[in-house]
Amino acid sequence: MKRVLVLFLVSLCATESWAADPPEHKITSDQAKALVMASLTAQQRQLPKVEAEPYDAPDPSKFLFFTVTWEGTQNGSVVVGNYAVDPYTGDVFSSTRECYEEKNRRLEALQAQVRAKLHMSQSEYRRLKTKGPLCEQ
Amino acid sequence: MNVTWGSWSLLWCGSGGGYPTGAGASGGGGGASPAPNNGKCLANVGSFVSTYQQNAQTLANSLGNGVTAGEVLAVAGNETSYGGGFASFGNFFGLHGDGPAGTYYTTKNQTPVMMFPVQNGFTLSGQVFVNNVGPYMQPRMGTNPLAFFTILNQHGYATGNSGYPAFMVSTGNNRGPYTLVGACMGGH
Repeated sequence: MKRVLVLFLVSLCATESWAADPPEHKITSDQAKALVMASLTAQQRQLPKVEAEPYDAPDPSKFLFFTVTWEGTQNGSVVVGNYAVDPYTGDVFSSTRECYEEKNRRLEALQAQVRAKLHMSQSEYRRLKTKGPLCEQ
Repeated sequence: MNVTWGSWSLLWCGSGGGYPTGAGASGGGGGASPAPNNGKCLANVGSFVSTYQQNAQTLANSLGNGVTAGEVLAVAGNETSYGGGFASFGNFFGLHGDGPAGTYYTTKNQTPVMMFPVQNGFTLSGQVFVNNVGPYMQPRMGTNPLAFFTILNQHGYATGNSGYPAFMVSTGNNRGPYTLVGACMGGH
């Protein structure tokens, strides 16, 4: 009985350390940028000179952060929005609105391609899924 | 973590780093997380608010018309992800063009973005923001945040996103910048 229990605990430890370790595969910055661009609405994508600019988060974070900019107006803002990409799943979140995940058909198609390249199964995706940087504080 | 089962007392595997503990921990392992507390001040937003609230009040006073520090902080928070993004160039309001500390050109399209001395960036970029949007303010509009953000949307903020005003003031599980800032100010 004692041996069985010890074996059970050892297996639990192995499972926990596997779950706590970050996954081996991450998306690239270029893939993350493409995902952010795909998350925009059609109207936003048509803005002149629209692009996603990466930036370092003020606090350490696993997410990849981007400011989407456009040509802007004389006295207005060049910022279209700020986004965070989960490098392990390809999920795209607003980095200014709480727990808000960006979703649309174009983005979902690209996410499927990216996850296929990572050889990510549905079950692994569900295991890695988060609710975004403003939902984990 | 020590686990005690009857006479069994075992040291739990791992150092505990990243493992949820304590009353505030949420469930891990892909399970459903508890719904966010709508009154909670998020750490990064709280830090942003405490750093810039006084400067925001000065800018709000300059705008007049009942505009509040919370509204100004919400704009800056949304433009910079609460102190990230172009805030690293002292530009908290997404200002386009050449700034007093130079110009940052975006990587792909070389869009010019104003740079300000970082230590005074909030106030200096805020003064440009006030000069730009001040002429569009209407009497007492600051008392209606939705009206305030609508005017900004019509004059160069979040162009291409007609949902900006509603986004800014959204409540519930997906609080927008104005609501998040308010949770860290104890009201507006």
